[in-house]
Amino acid sequence: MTNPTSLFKTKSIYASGMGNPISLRLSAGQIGMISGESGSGKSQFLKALADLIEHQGETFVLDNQAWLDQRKILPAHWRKKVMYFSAETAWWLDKISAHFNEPLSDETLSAIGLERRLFEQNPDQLSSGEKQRFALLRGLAYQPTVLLLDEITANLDPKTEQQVEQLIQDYVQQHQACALWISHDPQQQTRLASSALHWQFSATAEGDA
Amino acid sequence: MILISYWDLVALSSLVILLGVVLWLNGFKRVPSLYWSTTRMAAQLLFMGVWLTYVFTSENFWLVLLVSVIMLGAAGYEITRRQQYRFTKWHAVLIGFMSISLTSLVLLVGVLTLTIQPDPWYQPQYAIPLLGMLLGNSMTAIGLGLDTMTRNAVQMRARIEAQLALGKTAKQSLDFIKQQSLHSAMIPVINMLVAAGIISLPGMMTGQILAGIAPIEAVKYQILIMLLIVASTGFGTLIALHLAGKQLFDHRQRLRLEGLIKAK
Repeated sequence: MTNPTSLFKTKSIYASGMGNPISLRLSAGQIGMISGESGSGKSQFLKALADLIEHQGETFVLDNQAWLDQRKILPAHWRKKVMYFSAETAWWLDKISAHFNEPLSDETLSAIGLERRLFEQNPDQLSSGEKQRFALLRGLAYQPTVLLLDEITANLDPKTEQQVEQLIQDYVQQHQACALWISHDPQQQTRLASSALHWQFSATAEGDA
Repeated sequence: MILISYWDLVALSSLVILLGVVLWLNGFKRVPSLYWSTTRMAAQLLFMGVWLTYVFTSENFWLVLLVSVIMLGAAGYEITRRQQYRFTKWHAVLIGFMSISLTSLVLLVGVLTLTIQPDPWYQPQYAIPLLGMLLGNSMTAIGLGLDTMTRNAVQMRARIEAQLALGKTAKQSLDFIKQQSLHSAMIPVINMLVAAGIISLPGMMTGQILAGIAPIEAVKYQILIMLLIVASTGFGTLIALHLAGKQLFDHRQRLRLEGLIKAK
């Protein structure tokens, strides 16, 4: 409980579709990688951490040196701190820019290979890779403490994939945040995982912590 | 007033029978349901006529209340029956019943006690036809609004969940759907207002004029009814969408579409 470097911790999280309950801890600046066959409940696990689906177990995030309990704060408040980024993005307004409270700077856009003109377009006109990157920026604008990334580079070419990885690593360092990242790419896992933070999900075997 | 005989009605019903045959020849599959609905309409109205004769002569408050509650219940049930995606049974009927009763009933009591002021205020000759007009119209609008909301919630699930994940409240995440639902509920009502008197002669007014009432008096009643219909439709839809919107989420503001059942 009193580990001073922990930023995010879960106890026996279990949601339907998962093999076994999972407990884990992350410290500031750390990125944990999650891999495993499809249908093993990886996405369910991340959604449970964001309190988007019904689940068992406890989750806490450190906020101003006090632990916030997922069950005791407003869901909207929790989800701004512990934010889920889905593999398939969704947009509910006519323009990409309408989903942002503040305009994006040119350097932010170019850092992950996005052109300015795309920002004013209808989401339907963009490729899924472009939308994934805009969705990432859309979420990061709320400055979450914990990033739950569900295959967010699935539709990207190798160059932009590495740009996105760099963006996440910089964000986690600068904001003293942490991330859990679902990825099927073994190279991405070795590139990113902080000190062997790696969980292997499977439909039957247990997840270790 | 010229009275119509039952034989006149039987003769006229041959029109519908003929229509059914022509529709069937044109490939329309639901002819039995057209015949059934027509028969049902006639039976329901005849029953209403007999029943109302009794209620009118008795002027018993409890009897008027009983008729009103039956009408409200039927309207609430009809609302849910028209949904492509329905809430599990009790919630659905409750949403329909609550939204339609809260507005239609309050407006009815208000207009009877403050505007028309018959003696006694619940005099069935006024109360029951007025309630019927209100229910018939708000039922359609509330049904449309709810149908739009639940159908869009199922189809646009990802858009709602994306907003929830960004830390928006359940209410905010559903707002874009709520706007569309209000739109589809209110547009037919607004169109009805525009058409009144130019394209359509509203049924009640026509009935009163046929019965020998001076047109201008019939018109005043019609305007009163129109105003009540607009108010009960709008407020009823707002209440229904509010209640339905709450049912789509659980206590932790997670989207819960399991509560919706797809109609066959």
